Amino acid sequence: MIAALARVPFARLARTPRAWLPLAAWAALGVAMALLARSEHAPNGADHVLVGAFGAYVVPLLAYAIVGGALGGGSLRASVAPTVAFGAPPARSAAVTVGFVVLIAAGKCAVLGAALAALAHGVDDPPVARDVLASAYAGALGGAAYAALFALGASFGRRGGGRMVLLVTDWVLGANSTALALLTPRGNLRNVLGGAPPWGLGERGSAIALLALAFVFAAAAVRRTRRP
Amino acid sequence: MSGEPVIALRGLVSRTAPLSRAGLTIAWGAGLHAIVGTVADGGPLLLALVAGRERVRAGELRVLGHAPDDAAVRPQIALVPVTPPLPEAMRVHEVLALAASLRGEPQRPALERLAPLGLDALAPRAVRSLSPEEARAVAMAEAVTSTRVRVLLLDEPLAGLDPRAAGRLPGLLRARARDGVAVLIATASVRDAGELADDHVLLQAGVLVGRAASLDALSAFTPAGVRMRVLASDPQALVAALAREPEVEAVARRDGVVVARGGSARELAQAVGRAVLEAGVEVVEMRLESPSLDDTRLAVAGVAQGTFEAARARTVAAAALATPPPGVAS
Repeated sequence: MIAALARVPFARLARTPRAWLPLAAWAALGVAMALLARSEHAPNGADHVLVGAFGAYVVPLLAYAIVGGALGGGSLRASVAPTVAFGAPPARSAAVTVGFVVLIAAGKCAVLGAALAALAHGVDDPPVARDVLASAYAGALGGAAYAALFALGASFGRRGGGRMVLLVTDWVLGANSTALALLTPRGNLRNVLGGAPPWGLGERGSAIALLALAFVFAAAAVRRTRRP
Repeated sequence: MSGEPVIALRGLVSRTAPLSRAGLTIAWGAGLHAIVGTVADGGPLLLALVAGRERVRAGELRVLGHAPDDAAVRPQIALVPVTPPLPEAMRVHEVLALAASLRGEPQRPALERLAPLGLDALAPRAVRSLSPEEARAVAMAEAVTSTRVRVLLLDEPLAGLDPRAAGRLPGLLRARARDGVAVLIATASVRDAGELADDHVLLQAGVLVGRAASLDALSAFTPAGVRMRVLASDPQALVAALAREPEVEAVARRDGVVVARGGSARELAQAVGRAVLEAGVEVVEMRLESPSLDDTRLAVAGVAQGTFEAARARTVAAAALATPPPGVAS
């Protein structure tokens, strides 16, 4: 049943050109920033691109586009309506859809993070192999947490308008290093990528926080969709 | 209604209007049933409740002996609303395969499932390329041809439906009802209810105001009775013949069309048939005019009011007999 339930968000994402355009655009933005750093021979090119562009813009906007595309631009409840109409339990449909977007966002952000680390690598950056692996790991965690956050946002509002509200909230609360930034993917992802830590938390702590946020947001999204 | 109740409501109250006031108690078994009323009367909401898509505030609702959101029952219920949710990025044959997987029924070729409604050509089409009428017909085909579905809930089944499917749907629904499926239709059209169902429930503002076994019985409620329009080769001769039929309450001629009125559709049709034979006229067109929803409501409300007043008169009379006049010791 899981495979059958995943067919709907997969088809939306794979067959809707409108869903592809923002994905391509945000990925291209990251690559352009990495190429720019490379052309300038920046000594900390990878560090600069990953913390500045990748963590702050590319991961959240890529995850936002993935969730929007897989949900058909509507609410989480509306996105599972077709499978619920054929007898699937709403909670299971929502869990598969949220799991699907979390996995896709984690995968895409991991690949992009690794690619940007390799492209923008400077002389003062850590060894390229280690940097590529660390960036992929951070990208996967950040992508997963953001996708779960936006899935939760899509469970609010008739057209899933909560997605935009949570994007802005994360942007505002995660920008500084206060305790509130601990609750946002932005603050923790910045820390995992080597930026300023939220409330003095270590990198490993932020990695665990990203995992925990992904789990909590995903569970809350499913819970909000389990009943009519 | 035949057999055990497939759908049973006892004192059911919804969280949302218009079914949020009075508790509904009714049961439906296998067969073709209609809920006659508009959206404001609660027909579509009642379907959504039975399908487990709306929340119940009070009362009991059992479908196939369980709550409608029970995992075992859910795949056996098919709800086709006016705008059915279909996965827009998939093709029609993929949608049917997905539905079969989720309902837990054997996969069958899409053409086999679409052909009964004349929709074979839609199989390779993407859902997003379908017109609303075609999309509705595909959802209808999925629901009607599913071997797992035991409860079919259809909102205005003949409205906004692809014409290829609309002509074939009544026959298919009858076949499904004969197989033991409970088909429940919500419609504001008395005519559609009469054509599609054998049992009619009249809802008004969330309250059940009447139940009748057939269109004839529904028509009998109306003060105006039923009317039949006949376009014949010699209207004058037909009017004369109809005037001699005792079942014909009134007859009129309007612009060459003869309009006859009677108490029931069956008796009126028989009377018109006899009159046509007697007059020896050629019939070009003959059409029964169904009562409107408002006519039916007024009539049923009148019957209910009459029953209430009779009961009140009996109560007053009984009280008068039981109470001794002033000054008389009991």
